[in-house]
Amino acid sequence: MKSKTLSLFIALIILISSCTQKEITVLGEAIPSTESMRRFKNSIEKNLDNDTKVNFLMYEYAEMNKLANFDFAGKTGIYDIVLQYNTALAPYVSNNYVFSINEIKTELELDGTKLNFLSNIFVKTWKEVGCYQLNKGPDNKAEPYAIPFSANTMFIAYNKEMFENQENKLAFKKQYNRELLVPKTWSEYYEIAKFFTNTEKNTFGTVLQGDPFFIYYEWANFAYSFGGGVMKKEYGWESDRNTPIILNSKETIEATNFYLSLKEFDGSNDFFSTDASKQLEILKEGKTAIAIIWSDVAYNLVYNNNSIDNRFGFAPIPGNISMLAGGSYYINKQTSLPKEAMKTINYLMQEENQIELMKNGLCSPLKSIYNKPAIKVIPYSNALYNSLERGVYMLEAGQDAEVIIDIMTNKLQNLFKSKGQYDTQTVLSEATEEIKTKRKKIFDYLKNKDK
Amino acid sequence: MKKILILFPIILLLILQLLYVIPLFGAFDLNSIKSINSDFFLNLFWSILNAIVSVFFIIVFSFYFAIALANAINLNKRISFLLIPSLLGNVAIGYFLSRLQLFEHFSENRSILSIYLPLFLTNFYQYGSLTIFLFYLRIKDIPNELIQFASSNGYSLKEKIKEIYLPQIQKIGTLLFIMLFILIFNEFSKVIILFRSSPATNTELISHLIDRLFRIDLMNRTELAINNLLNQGILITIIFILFCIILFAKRSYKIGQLIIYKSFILFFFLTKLIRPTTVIVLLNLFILSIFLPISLILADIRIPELSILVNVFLKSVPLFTIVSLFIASYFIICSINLKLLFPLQLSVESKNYNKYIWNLFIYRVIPAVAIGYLGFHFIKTLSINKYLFWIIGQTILSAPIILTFLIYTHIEMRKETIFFINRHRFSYIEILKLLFHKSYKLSYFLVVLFTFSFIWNDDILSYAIRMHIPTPVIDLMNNSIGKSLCKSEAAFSLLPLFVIIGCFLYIINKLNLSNNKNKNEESCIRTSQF
Repeated sequence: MKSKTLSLFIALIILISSCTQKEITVLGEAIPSTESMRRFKNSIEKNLDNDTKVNFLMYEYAEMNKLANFDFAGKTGIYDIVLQYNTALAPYVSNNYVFSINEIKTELELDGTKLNFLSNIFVKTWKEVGCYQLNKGPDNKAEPYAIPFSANTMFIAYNKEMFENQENKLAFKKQYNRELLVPKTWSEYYEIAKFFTNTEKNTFGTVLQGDPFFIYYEWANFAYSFGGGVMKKEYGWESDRNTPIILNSKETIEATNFYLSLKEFDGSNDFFSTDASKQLEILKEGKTAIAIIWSDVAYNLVYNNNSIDNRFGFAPIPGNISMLAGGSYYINKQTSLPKEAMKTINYLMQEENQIELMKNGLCSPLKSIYNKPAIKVIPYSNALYNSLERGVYMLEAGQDAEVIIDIMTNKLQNLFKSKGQYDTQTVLSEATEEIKTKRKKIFDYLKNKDK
Repeated sequence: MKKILILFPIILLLILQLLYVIPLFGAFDLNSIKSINSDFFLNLFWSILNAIVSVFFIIVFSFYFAIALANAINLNKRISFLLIPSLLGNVAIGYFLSRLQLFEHFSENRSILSIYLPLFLTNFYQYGSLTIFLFYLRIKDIPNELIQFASSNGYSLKEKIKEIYLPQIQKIGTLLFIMLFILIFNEFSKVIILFRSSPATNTELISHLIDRLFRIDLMNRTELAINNLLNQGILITIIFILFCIILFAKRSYKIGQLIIYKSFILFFFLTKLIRPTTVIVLLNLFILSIFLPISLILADIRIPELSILVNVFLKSVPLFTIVSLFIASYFIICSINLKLLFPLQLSVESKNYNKYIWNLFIYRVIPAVAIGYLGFHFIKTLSINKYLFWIIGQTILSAPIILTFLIYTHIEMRKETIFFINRHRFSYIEILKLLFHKSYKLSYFLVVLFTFSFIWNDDILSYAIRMHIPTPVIDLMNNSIGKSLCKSEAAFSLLPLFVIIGCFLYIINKLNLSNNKNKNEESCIRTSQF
């Protein structure tokens, strides 16, 4: 008995002592593209000068976000590189949580390492998800604080079989007096959603994302495309207590009503729990015509265990603009290995590695790889490229972003839940007032903190 | 001095717990508590209501079902399968039920009833079967002579319940009430997976509200976010302490007795309904409710990369097993010291150890997100190794439940045995030898099983070690919601748990579940030794 207990203790001590190694820890959201970074672990480690190990930790978004913030706020320095989205940009830079890219770049250049890939990044994406103007004023301009790891957007995914079906084509032409084509305008989108919704055939026009973590992002496509939105500004991270709110504008109200009207054609079982993944599952069933999907999950719709599902086509959303979104590599100020962290990023950003990552689901921020044959065969690469080229700010990323997203999620879910009982204009006006009150508190707090 | 030495293991647990919660109480700020808004109290109300209603139905229904089960059919060798839902943990049970898509259409309109009814049913599915199992064991322990005596003296069924069955489940019933209240009150992952909790859809419990508000403020108003979080944690702890004071007031048991006794009509209904054939049908339905999702999940499995297989089966499983054995042994030592040595040293049949045990529950009521934050704080301030932090954290997280389970249910030494030990001045080792005899095998085995289940299914502290050890429960959470939903990987994350639970249940089935036989064996040991 004694010997058994002793051996248990020894095993435990060995396990405890085996985990004190010098390593770069990368924290990110668990999605196929980031998960595929793991396969570069060995080659990154070889590329680093010393015996530093690289460890990738991927979690579901909400949990990842919390862990990153615990680490930054507590200055624990557990994670060396954090793969975060644009909502984190303003707070991370303002709180001095992360290195500026120029700081490390200069140091690396002294060592002879050049970051050649920087000139190859989609400029608008980088300005939206990785640059920030810390000090206001005409003499100051936005500086890069993070390097994009993913250039995301939302685009249309449609069921080609349903669109190419001869019977459908004829019926559509008869009903609307035009060809059944991928919609270029929102009214065409509505007509297609309506046309394919047939309870007898168990087919649906569209599938929406009503999940609390997704509804705001989907709505933003409609709001900005109609000429409305949350605020009037150039970049998501530009925000202060006076930035004009356009939530109760005519365009935003019209867009929101349009969004609500699509619920009639929605094919989800439970709207309020339909997130990006559930949306894909419903599309895969083959009974839904069209949907607006996240570009970073498009891979899951097309590829399944190395086989390609050719049933789906992709196109930018109706209108002339698309959403600029995505995430960036942030280097933690508390890391003891900032150069190694940047070398890790540099390695992953090399063209050949980006091609490999994009073949595994990444929406690469490197512009040059989109004309490579290996990328052109990816069914959604063209839609992605075109969307990024015409991309604009649609998502909040300022100091008040989390509050605005929370308020809008609540209001939008309430509008859907009320099934027309609540007046959109009233709800959006309430949202405007709530945002004004809450952001005032935030900016007052930040002002007092700076003092 | 002896008293301190005996109490050392449990005092150590209390000190460690205190270390964890000091930052919480250090942040006490009356203004912060005053500024907590009405949403907090509304969500608190719903969470308490959800916990109380769920626990009430679980306890009352399980009590009567266990009596009916014990009288209707002899399931000694097979009853252990009832443990499966409770051993799966919150994340797995959430995924398990979401895979069946039972509530999707039901909850679309998001009315209060359409949310809370599925939630009660889910809670009953997860914890009711465990409660039935524990009540069944206790009822089976009642000597046959006593029941025969009651029958021959013309006791009615109602009198039998009052005089025989109720006293038998008194301790375990109280323990389960507290334990289940805390577990259901602090519910987080299961509701997220099943209902995607949000305020607009009436699916936000207090733990979700605290998490959401903390998430919003943490980015910009870090100090405020942490301050609010800790003060909300304090408020919940105070409410829990008040709840315990009310519950443990001298009349609480009588109130509980009255509720169970007054709900006799339920039993009347069950006795009419539950005949041996009905029991078999119900149990088969239960088995189906377990094996249908298991078969769906197993069908999803695709063979993963060899490195993942190696990581999970050669790294995670051995590590979690070793740590579970270590923590379970510690608990067994604590319980022996409290249950046996403490009263022996005081030469009285003392129940003073109660106060040490109930203190441990305080850590368990703190919201999950606050525990997570405190964990990071702990790692930073003490520069502690993450493994050590994880093991200590797991020990104090599972301590109250496992320890009370151990103390109140299984190490039931007879007074004569304690007298015997006292008279012959047994050494500590001799007492341990006696207590490690096979007659207590089932108790210890269940302790190891539940400790393993707690640690394996933990979705709070496991985040801290995931950088070194693959933690399948976190993988399951990753693959259950959000952009990363992947059925094949979720299924693979559940596979080791199914395998381990299967092995454990096989061993339990090999053991005799009745303590009557064990007690007889205990007498034989004493006779043979002395």
